[in-house]
Amino acid sequence: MEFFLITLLNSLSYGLLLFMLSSGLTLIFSMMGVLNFAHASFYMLGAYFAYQTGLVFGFWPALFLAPILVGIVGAITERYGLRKVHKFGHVAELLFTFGLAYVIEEIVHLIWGRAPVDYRIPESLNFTLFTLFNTQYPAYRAFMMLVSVGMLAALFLVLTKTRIGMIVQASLTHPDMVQALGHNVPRVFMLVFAGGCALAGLAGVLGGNLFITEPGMAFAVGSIVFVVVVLGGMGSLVGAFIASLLIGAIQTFSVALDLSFLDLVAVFGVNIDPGSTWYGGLSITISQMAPVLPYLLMVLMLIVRPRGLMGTRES
Amino acid sequence: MRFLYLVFSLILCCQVSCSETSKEIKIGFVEGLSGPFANIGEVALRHLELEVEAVNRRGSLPDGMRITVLPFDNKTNPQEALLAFRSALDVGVDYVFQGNSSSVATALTDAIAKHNRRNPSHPVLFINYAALDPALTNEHCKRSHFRFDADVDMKMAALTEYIAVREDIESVYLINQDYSYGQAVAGAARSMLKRKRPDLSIVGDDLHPIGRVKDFSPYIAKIKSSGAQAIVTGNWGSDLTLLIKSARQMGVDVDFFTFNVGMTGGVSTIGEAGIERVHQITNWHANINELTRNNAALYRNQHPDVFEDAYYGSVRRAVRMLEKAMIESGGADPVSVGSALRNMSLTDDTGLVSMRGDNHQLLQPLFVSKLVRVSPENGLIGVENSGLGFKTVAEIPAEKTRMPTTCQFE
Repeated sequence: MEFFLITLLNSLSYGLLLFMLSSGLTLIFSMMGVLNFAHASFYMLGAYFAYQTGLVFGFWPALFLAPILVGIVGAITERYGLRKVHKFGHVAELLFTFGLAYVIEEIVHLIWGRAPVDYRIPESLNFTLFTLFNTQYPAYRAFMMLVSVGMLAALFLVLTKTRIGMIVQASLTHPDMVQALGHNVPRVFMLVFAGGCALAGLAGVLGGNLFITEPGMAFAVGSIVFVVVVLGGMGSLVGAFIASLLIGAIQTFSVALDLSFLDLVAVFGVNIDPGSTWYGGLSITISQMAPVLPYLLMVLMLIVRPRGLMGTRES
Repeated sequence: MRFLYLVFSLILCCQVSCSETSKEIKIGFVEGLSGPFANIGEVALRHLELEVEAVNRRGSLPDGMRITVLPFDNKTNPQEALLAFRSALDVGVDYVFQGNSSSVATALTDAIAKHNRRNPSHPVLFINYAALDPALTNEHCKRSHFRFDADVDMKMAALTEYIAVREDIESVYLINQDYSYGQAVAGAARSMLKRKRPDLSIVGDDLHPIGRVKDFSPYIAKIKSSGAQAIVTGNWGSDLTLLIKSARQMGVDVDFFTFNVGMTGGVSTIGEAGIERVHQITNWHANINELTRNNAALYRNQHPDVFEDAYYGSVRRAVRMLEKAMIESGGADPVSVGSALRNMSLTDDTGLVSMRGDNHQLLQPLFVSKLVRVSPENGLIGVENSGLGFKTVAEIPAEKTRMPTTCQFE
C-alpha cells in the first residue's frame, strides 16, 4: 500500500511535468500546424535561464523571470524565423525547428559548458512535506504538482473565458475570418508560440533542479514529449493531459514489475533452461523494458487509432 | 623554379628531422566530454593533465621528450568513440587514455588491436584507468590494453569481504546500470554474497538504462518497499548522484555500498545523511596515509576553484608507470613501452603496485572506506567542501586481490 501510494504520487508529479512540457507543443501545433522540434530545447533554456537568473536574484524571481525570457526567445524565433520560412510550407518550418534544436544545444554548450550545472532545489522548498507510512515525500515535488495544476487551470480559463482566448480559438479554425474582423492574426500566432515556449520554459525551471540541468536534457525529453502529443491526439490539450498522466504512470509503475516472459510461460508449465538461446531475450523483465514502453504504446496507438486519444484530425 | 623546389624540399626535410629530434609524445584522452557523464570526463582529464605536467616538469623522459594531452570527445558511446579514435590517430597519438564506460572500452580495445595489426609501424597503447568489466582482462584481453584500476570481480571480492563481517546487514538490494559493467557488478555481488554470507538475502536486483534515468524515485520506492537494509551499486556519474538524490529526498534509511561515491558530486549530494552509512571500494582515497593526504592537497592547490577533489589513484599510477617504462626502454615507442610495463612494479602513495604480465591488470592495495565527519582534530581531510571525508574500514593487500584469469594474448 505504501509503495502503491508513493509510486502513484511520483507518477502524478512526473506526468504533470510532462503535461507542462507537451501542452505548449500541442497548443502550437493546433494553432499553427507547426510541429516544433525545438520544443524540448526551450525546456532546457528554461532550466539554464532559471539557474543563471537564480544566481543573481534567487529562485523565486527566477521562477517568473526564466519562463518570460524563454517566451521572449520564442517570440523572436517566431517573428524572425518561422514567419519567414512559413511561405515555403510545412517542410521548411519543420526543418527550421529541427535545425534550431541543434543551434540551441550548441549555444548552451558555448555558454554553460558541456557538464551539468549546479542548479539546486531552493532551501526554502528542500524539506519533507509529509511522511507517508515511513517514506518521506519531498515538498518540492508537491510544489511542482501545484504549479502544474495551477498552470492547467490558468490555461483553461484564458482559452475559454477571456477575449484573447476567444480570438486564439477563432484563429485556430477560421484565421481568415478573424483577420477580416480586424485582428492581427500573425501577432496572435506569435503570442501563442511565445506562450507555448514559456510553458516549456516553466517546466524546465521546475524539472531542471529536480532532475539534472545539462545540455543533453533537451534530447532526453524531446522524444517522450512527441509520444505524449501523438498519444493524446495532435492539438488536443485534454488529450495531452490524459496522455501525460498515462505515460507518467506507465514509466513509474513498470519499474516495479519484475515479471518477464519466463514467468508468463512458467504459468503454463513451460520452464526454459538458462542455457538455451531464448533465455536471454525472454528473461528481460518489464522493469528493464520500462523506458521502451511509452514508444511501444505510441506505435500501438498509431496502428489502432492514428488520431490519438482525443485528436480530431486524421493526419 | 627548380631552385624553389629545392628550397621547399630542404625546408620540409628540416621540419621532419627537427620534429624527430625533440619528439612530442601525444596522449589522446578519448573520453566522454559531453552528455550526462561530461563532468566525470573533465575530472579525469584534470587528473591526467596534473600528472603529465609533473612528468614534464621533472624532465625525466629520455631525449628531452615531453608529453602532450589531447582530449577527444567520445560522447560515452562506442560508435562515437571509434570516430574519436580515428581523429586521435589523424593527429598521431601514441597512447589512448579512456575509462568511463566499459562498453566504450571494449569497442576501443578492439579498434586499437585491429589498428596495431594493420599498422605495425605506428602502434598505439590503450591505458584504461577506470573501465572495470572483467572481460577486458580475461576473455576479451588484448596485448595493447593495460588496466590500472581493479576490475569488478576484484573490487566486489574486497567489498563482500567487508559485508560478510557486517552481521547487522541481513538484506541487500542490487541496483546497477544495464550494460556489461553493471551486469558484471550485479553478477559478482550475487555469486560472492551467496558464498560468503549464505544467510543474507538479496531482496532486489535491478538494472536500469545507463545515463537515461532522470528520476530514480520509482526505484527508490521499490527499494523502500523491499525492506532492504543496504544498497549495493556500481553506478557512477549522474546515475549515482541522482540515485542518491532520490534516496535522500525520500528519506530512505539504508547503508550504501558503492564503487564510485567519492567521484564528483556523490558526497555533497548525500551530505550529513550519509555519515557512517555510505561506503566505497576504491584503490585510493585521501585519508590512507600522509602521502595520500599530500597528493590530495596537491590537487586542491592546483585546482583551487573546481568542485571536485582528487579521486583517481589509477590515473597517477598509469602516468607514473608510463614514465618509468619510457625511461627503462629509452624511448616512447608503444611496443617497447608495453613490454616494459609488463610485470613492472612501482611504489606509489598507497604502497607497492605491480602490473600483471599474464593479463595486464594492475595489482594494488584496495580500500573499503566509509563516510565520516572530518575535522582538524581527527586529522582527516574532506571532499567537496562538505566537511565529510572517507576513512578506511578495511584494507586488502595487493597480492590478495589477484584473481585467476582466462586471458590468452594473441
